[in-house]
Amino acid sequence: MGIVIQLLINSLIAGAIYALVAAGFSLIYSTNKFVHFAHGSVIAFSAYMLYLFYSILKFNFGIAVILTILFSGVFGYLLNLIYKKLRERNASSVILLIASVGLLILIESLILILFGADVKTIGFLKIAKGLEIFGGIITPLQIWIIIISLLLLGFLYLFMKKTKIGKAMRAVADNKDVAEIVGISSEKIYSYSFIIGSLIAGIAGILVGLEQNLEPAMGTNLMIKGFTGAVIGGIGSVSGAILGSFLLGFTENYGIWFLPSGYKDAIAFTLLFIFLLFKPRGILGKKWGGDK
Amino acid sequence: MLKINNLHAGYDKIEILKGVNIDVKNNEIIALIGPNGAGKSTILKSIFNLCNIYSGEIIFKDKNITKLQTYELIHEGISYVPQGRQIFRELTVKENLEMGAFILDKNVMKRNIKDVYQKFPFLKEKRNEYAINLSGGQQQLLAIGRALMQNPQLLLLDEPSLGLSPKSMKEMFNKIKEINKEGVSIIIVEQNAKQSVEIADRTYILEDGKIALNGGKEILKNKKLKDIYFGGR
Ligand SMILES: Nc1ncnc2c1ncn2[C@@H]1O[C@H](COP(=O)(O)OP(=O)(O)OP(=O)(O)O)[C@@H](O)[C@H]1O
Ligand SMILES: [Mg+2]
Repeated sequence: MGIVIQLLINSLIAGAIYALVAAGFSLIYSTNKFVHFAHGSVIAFSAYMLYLFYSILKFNFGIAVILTILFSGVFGYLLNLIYKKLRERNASSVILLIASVGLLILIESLILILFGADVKTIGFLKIAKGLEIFGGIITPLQIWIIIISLLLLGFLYLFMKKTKIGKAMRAVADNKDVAEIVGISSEKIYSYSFIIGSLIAGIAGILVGLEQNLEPAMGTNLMIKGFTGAVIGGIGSVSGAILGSFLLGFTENYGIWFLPSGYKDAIAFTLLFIFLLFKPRGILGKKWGGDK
Repeated sequence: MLKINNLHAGYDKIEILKGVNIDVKNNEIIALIGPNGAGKSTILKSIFNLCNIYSGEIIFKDKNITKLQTYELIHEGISYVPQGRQIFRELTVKENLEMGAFILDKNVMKRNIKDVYQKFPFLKEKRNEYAINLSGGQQQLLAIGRALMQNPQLLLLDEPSLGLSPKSMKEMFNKIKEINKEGVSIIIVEQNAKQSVEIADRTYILEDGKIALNGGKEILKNKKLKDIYFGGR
């Protein structure tokens, strides 16, 4: 019984993190219509920013967190400026995808140069003793991870459904040409998507940075998981991305009940390939591909 | 109200319109007909600054609007309904209408949505449904409703009857007449020559980027119209 509960807890934690990554990624994909792999670098950027502000510069934790989140938003804004330059030269969505992989590698290399390859730890909240729930153990930080993720995803949902900008984002995602003729600037919407997606990635980076160790390639690892979650749920659909991410979290964690735990990452890849082969539109099935 | 003078326009280096002159008076319905690829849609796009204009000018209410941006054109009082039931399929009916008034004040939006609901009661009934679930004719009316959210004085309609059943087509033309009676000038592009000439005050016939013929309802009997329209087939 204890193991079932423990795996449930682990699944929820993993799913919550993946969902944050996937939701931002999917939001950006839905409006921009290209695969922004460099989204992963925002997560690593944010984790290392928190390390810089809190562990090196010894800022107050709250201030360090706020600065990190703001910087992540700015970082996303700047990434979009690079893509914008490419779009102005009529870059296709494939070119943008290649550029995004290049950016991901570049940024992770910069992190490696600046901070070194050794694993870093942000010593905050981590040592707290776990609570026991029905035989499973969960730390206060992990409870926070789940609560903050769910709240953020809820806010994102309300933002997309209720606010004027959120509706305009869905409008651009749906039909960019019509959005333009009612006076919605798609360039602005691209930019907003990057900022909002990156703010969420920034928060994910903080949560991951507190829960695990930092290493320069952490963004790529999480991006693969987030991307898998987004594909499973249906690419371009934010709610699909959330659903797919939790599904991935559960499959991974219950999968190692049957398989050695070294296979955890293989489970994600297998799931990704199964969906790409047999159900490329994912569970909430949207259309793949850029220009419609 | 709208004057197009010697317009040359196209896409990048491909010139489609080769010297087009059109004159729309207050409260008129102008039909624009011609064979496939003649450049009818391109005329509407050039009014809305969605293609390249090489020379010539477009004057709206004594103001040169040739270089204006989309939001400026909407503020001037021009609204555009593109060809092919262009709506936000995954937004609700109400959200589609709200997006029509995206650049307008919230109060104006609320007032206009009431007017549109009054004109098209089914839109009010279905306001919380996703637009993709409407029938073809309803989707086209939604696209028109979205344009009406902008309070236009001039409405540009690109083939609103395309692909509709005869019944919805009739309904569509009735609605267009109704909108015009409330003081909105209309340029309507149509494949359906007979129907559109009948509701229009005047008709322009476009052939290969030039106006070949224009006139009132008598134009239907013109031999040249038959040559242009059915000659090539
Ligand atoms: N975005 C574009 N880029 C390049 N050429 C275009 C573009 N849009 C249209 N054209 C070309 O311009 C010409 C005129 O097109 P337009 O859409 O104005 O014709 P139309 O009279 O509206 O025809 P239809 O009845 O088929 O709608 C066509 O030869 C078309 O191929
Ligand atoms: Mg056309």
